[in-house]
Amino acid sequence: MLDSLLNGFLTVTEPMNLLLLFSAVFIGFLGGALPGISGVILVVILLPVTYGMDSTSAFMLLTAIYGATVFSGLITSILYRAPGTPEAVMTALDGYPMTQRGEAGKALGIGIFSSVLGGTVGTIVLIIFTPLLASVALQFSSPEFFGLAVLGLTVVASLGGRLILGLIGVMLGLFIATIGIDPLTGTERFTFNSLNLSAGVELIPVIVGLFAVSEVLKKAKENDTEKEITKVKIKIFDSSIFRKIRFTLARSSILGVAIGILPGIGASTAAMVSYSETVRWSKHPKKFGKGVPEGIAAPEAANNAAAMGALVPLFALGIPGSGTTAIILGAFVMHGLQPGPTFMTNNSELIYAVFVGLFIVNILILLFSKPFIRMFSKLLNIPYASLGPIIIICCIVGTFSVRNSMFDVWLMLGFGVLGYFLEKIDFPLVAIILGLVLGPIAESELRRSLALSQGDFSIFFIRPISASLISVAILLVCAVIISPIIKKRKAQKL
Amino acid sequence: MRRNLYAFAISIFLISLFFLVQTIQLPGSSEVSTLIGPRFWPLILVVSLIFLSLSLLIGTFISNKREENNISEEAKPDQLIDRYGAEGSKSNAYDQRFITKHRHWILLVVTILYTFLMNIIGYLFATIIFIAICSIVLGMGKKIHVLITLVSGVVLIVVVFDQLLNIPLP
Repeated sequence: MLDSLLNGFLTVTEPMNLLLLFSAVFIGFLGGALPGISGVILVVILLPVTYGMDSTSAFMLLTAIYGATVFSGLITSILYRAPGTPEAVMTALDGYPMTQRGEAGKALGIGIFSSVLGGTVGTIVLIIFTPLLASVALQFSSPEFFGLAVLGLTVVASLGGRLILGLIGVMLGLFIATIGIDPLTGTERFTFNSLNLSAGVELIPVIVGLFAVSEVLKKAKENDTEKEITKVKIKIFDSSIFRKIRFTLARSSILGVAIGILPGIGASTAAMVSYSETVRWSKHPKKFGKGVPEGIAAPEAANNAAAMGALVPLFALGIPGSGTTAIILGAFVMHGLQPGPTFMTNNSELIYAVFVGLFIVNILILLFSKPFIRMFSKLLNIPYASLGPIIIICCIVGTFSVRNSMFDVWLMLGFGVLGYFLEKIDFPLVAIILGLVLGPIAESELRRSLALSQGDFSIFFIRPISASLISVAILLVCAVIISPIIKKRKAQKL
Repeated sequence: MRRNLYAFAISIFLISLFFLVQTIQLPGSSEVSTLIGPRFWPLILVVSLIFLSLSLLIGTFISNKREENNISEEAKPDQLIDRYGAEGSKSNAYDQRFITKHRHWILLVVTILYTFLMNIIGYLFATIIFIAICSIVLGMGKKIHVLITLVSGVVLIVVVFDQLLNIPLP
């Protein structure tokens, strides 16, 4: 492993790759800062751009942006009580009251330090656990892979919103994935004699349309509001504060990365759980929500650690740990790579370069967050009227460039309109992507397994690993269905 | 929201029915060399979609009924006026609101026209026109801001996409 890490380090420290990482961190900072551009949208917009790059550079860029955006959400959360990313919602609870007290610099300093520490702990766990988990998964065959795909699809249960909408989304995604030529028999399915559909529906038009185009359409209805610029003096490390929050940092980082590794539970949940745990362990729980350093350290250490933890099941098993990692999984598929147990051995250079890249991202965040926040006050008021057309151009060029197809551009616009309508009913759009990405694996492994067992479905339940994976998947969905009923009954008793 | 949910559930139900017919026409397991045919998996999905869309439809109907009952029991007439908006409060800024309300559709039409236009007058010229119109539609007032956006867009296409990243342009 040390050799691979050293190779990864050598790859990352090539001047072009370092420049790429630096750009990624800057772009990630912007993602959290600019209105209407979330981490997911940034990854989506840049995904087609990476198509021309070699896979190692492409994934260093995408994962670095992912890491940096999880961090940068805290800036607007603390300064304006407007979380730049969903992961930073809890940070506003104590961050904004500190800003109101004139302690914005102190709050930002705690946030930056906690994020970097959480991110670093998360990256270390990622480096150690991914090969371990992958080596266990190397013994998997078709039934286990089908079990993994099913478990991956149940991520939808924890995306929030109505479960039934998530399930419909997954089914839609799985169904879209069947369009084209059946790889096992060569039969054309749902192509309506169209040459464009014979090759199947590409991921890019669906992802770009659903996430980026629909967001521009949604934002078009809103009016830009100018934000008051806050000038702050940030001190990242303060030993007296560090002594106060050191146990919170340690507990939240470990809790965050553990939650992140679990499939389907992303950084937002980790931040919430960590915050509530910190309140529970605190000697002064009533002070929370009024601006205490622990209230910033807990969610920030946890969400950054969880973001890295969510990459463990992605790399080792090929199942996403969260919504954004589902998009990153799509990016791998687009580059002709399928993360999973054999991925570590076949693409060790890429994986370790990504690991080292993520490590360096944390250092870059530490070094450049201060100057960025100073510059950020000017960037914050870029009107959406400027960003909107540029985003649409990126979407069209990016989609076209995948296979030089105008059909894909029209498809993307169609999915954009669909995404716009679906968001009106709070539809979890990531569910469609999950189905689309995991669909081909689920179908082919299911059919292979049934071919092995001569059509006997018990093959999934007599093999311990596949039985466990499918059981966990069912339990996850059942937990989502049952927990509101239990809560309701408890409330009625009270 | 409720109306949108109904529309969504009915659309999914109808689309699933349409694809159920298409799926049944696919070769079954007995007609192909593999043990499990190409019809098997899509059939599971389409049937699940029919079941889920019906569940959504029924679930929405039941919660709608429950909500209606609650409203009729709890709400008083004056509260209902508040809930559904008092009549006769049309403001003078109606035109402005109309544009804001339909801005996304105008933007979509402009984008569709742009996609057509790029094949006729060339990608770069079409993009210049698109950026200018799009930024105005999105509410940009000052000419200098439109110009800055225009230059940024052109630099992005020519320098970043074409020269640096060598991405094929439409």
